[in-house]
Amino acid sequence: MLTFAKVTLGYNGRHVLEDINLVVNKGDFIGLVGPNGAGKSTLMKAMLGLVKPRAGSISWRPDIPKIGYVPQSEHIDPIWPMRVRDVLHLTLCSLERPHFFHKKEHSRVRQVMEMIAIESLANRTLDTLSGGELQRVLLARALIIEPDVLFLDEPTAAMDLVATRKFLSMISDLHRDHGITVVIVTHDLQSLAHRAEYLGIIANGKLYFDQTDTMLTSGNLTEIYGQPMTVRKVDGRALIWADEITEKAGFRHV
Amino acid sequence: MFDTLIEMYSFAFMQHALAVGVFGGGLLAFLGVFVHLRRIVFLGAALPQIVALGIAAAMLASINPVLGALIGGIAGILLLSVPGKKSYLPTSGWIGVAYAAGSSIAVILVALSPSPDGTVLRFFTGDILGTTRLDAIYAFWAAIGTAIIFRLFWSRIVLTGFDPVMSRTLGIRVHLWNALLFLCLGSGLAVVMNTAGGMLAFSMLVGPPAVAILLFRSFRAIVITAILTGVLAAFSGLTISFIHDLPGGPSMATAALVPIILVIPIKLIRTLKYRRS
Repeated sequence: MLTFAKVTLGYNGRHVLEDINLVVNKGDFIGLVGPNGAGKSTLMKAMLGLVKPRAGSISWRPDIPKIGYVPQSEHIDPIWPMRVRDVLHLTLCSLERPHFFHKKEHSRVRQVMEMIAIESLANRTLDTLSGGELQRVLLARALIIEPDVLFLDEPTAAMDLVATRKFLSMISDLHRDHGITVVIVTHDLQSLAHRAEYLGIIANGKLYFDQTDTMLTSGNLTEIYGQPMTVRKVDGRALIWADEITEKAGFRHV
Repeated sequence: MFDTLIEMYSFAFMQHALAVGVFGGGLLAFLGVFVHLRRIVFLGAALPQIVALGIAAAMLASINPVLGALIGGIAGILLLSVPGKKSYLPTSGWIGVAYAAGSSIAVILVALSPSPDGTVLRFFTGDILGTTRLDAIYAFWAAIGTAIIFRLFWSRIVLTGFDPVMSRTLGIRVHLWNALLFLCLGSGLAVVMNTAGGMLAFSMLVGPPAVAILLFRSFRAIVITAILTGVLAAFSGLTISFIHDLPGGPSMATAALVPIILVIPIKLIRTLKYRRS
């Protein structure tokens, strides 16, 4: 579906990621993780066609599919006086017909609001939503176009633990029930460990990519992150922690 | 009172001034909603200066000043939208440079222009009472043209402003829709600047939409309120200027800004009520 062949990405003469080889197949659930500034968002932008490769090639086969994009909630400017239903309606209208003031509301808007359980938010404006609610609205907006691929850029960054868990469960359900290909970027490795089928870890300007079970070993993570990491399986789920984050920083994690 | 109004607006120059105020003011008030929401008010401040430069250049070259204003507006928008991530000077810096350059060079061109001083200086200070029938027709068609464009392409123009990145992922050509919005903005500024000057143009662009945004959180209510406020400001400002023998343009500009002072207490009361609840 999507192939990266020896791709180099960067800005202003600086290479952020080099020699990226990656294949995304239909129906995959891929997690991309890495520390801040590692190039996760750059990689996602390249997948979305927003950043051109400096070397190598990025290709979609057979054609570019319908792409649903869920940005970080901070990306949305709350000054825009939009109700939740307007946001969904607008996205649909901008693709199907450009007019706004037609009276009949598309049944797809109601359908997606039910699917994501945001009917109660329909008449709320964006500035009145919590981080978790806004993220669900952005997910609904991405789903309204019935995408083949869903790209999520750090969707849980503004959420607490419970909201994060609920949101990622929703993504897993969508992937399982509707067969949507999912590519999710996050810095939270733990939350993706038992959900993503494939895991890409971005570190030191490189992408380490394989099946999640293969990637998640203490040895692999220690090598990639350059510090002691431990992975333990508990009830079939991986628990991951850094043994010593750094003694220079003056604290230990066990 | 009614008789006074009828008598006042029986003069052709008042009718023309009112037409430019209503169509041009309403148009700029509407476009100002997008200027505020897109957070490009500084661009709105610089553009009238560049449009003035276009008018002054047109006068110097003895061509139609509206054409000069339009070319100035479009050139200004193109120039100010070019500096991007690769520029070490931030966009606001470029806008500041354009503002200063536009206003200073325009004055020099005015000094060099063979036209009488009063004719050219009106582009800076405004002389709404010197408006001609042709000016009113320009304002009318600019408003109609913009209304048609927005009626046809509302969702795309709004979506590309609201979330340009997501729009690009949907395959929407963001630059094209931005250009269309800016073309409408350039046209609106051109027709108002040509008769009423930069002060009135900028006041109409920022005042009425600010009132609407402070009062409402519904897009439709904001748009309608902004246009109505712009139209009412044009009418009331012009009427007061006639009765009290005040300059027309500044009176209309003040009328466009006064409602902001009136709505601030309403906004504060609403905020307090919301916090208490």
